[in-house]
Amino acid sequence: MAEAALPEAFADLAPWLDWALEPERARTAKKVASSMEEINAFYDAVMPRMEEIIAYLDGVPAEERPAPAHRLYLLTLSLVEVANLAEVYKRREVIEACDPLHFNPQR
Amino acid sequence: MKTVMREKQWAEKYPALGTGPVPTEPYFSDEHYALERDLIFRRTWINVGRVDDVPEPGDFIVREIAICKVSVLVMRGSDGVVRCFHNVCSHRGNTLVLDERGSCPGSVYCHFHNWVYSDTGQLIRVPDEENFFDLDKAEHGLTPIKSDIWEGFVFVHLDPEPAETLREYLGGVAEQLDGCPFHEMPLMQTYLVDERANWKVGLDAQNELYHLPFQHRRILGDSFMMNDSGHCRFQDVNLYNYHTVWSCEYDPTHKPTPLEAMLFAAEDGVPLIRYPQMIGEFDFFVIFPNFVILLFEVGNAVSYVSYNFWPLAVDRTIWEIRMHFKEPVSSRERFRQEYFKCLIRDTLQEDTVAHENVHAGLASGAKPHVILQDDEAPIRYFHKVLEDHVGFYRNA
Repeated sequence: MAEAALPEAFADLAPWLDWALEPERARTAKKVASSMEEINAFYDAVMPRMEEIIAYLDGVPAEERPAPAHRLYLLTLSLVEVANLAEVYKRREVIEACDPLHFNPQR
Repeated sequence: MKTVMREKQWAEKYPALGTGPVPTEPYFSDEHYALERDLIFRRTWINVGRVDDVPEPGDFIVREIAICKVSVLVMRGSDGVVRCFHNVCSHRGNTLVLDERGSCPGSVYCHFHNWVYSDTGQLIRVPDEENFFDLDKAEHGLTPIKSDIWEGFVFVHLDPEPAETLREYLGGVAEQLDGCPFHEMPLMQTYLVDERANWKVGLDAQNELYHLPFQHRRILGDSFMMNDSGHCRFQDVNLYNYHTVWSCEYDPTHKPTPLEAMLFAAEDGVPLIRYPQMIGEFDFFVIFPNFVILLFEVGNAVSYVSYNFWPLAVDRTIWEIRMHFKEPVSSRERFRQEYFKCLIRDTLQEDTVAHENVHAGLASGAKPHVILQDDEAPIRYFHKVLEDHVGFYRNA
């Protein structure tokens, strides 16, 4: 049987697996390439699950995270990546900042 | 609240600082840039990283002090000692190490003719050595660069006989921050930002809070302590021999975003760590000329961000931003750190645009001076120290 992509309790988040990215620059690139509608839909799907996700990940030692738990972790990092856009700016037009990819993360 | 909202308090604390305008020419003058190279970057202690960048024997990093055309090889030897060398082969002057970082346990070799150096800098092997004339390998090791370490930060001085030790140079900054456990806050991320701006434009822009409720009104608008009119005030400003620190408090009435509220709701029963070295909740140390240590509280922990502003040309700078957080003890803490990292990063992305726009305005020559208010006093002091070094206006 094929390994589940996400831990069983989070199987319903499978439509958002393409946000399970590393390193940071890949998450930023995904944010930059996504429409506000896509970002809001992703945020709305994952944000209500944050307490559950944190409790689940706390039960798995970070060094030994199996692949499904690691994907859940990366997907949650993407939630944090888009949070300022979804919660604060809300519209890209109001942002007076450089292209996020102009910041070159080294890891 | 420790912050005093009174106006013009820093001019009272430091009357010698003056209150007049500051000239703009140092931001765009080629002549001034050449003086900075010779009288600042070749004559002061320059931070090139941390000992943690080279944790194991044989680990190295290469740092470019581009304004001086110097490539610094920072290498931990087999004996555990961190040393700095010119990254130049003794044979024909080739650049020795081409990677920005790596590990070369035991030895490094030049790609041109395979001259081999030990990780402590001695020349240990020369191919076809018998065909050279009176070559004494002991005399042709790597050229050392004067270096010293304070609290894990590695500094170099391009003058082989510095007028001051690193300790003397750091002065009151070292006294304030001695013992601060920087080693407990490992590097989480480094950003390199290529800016079309003079290195001092970015540094000055970061060196005040006045712009926060305006430029960063959306992302940080209510984060720091403000007076009734909505203007930020420092909790304290301290001027040292060449350096400054300003400190401030967070605004307790700050309205958290949903994610922020969720991540900060439970503090996991971990007690608040406060370091006695901290002055406020957010301390911004500018270590002359181009290094910044920003210590701040995040939830129940302390983190720090460092900046190195690396001049490439009078109108071009690499802004190196490093973010350090302690090892998280829970997933919530890990995501809290990620939240803060993204918050700071996104804020600084607003700053980058401003740095370039400010530079363009200054370089037009339209304005002979910039005008500073009292809560921009650290910028005023920076320019005083700058002029003390270069003497651009001394004989004018």
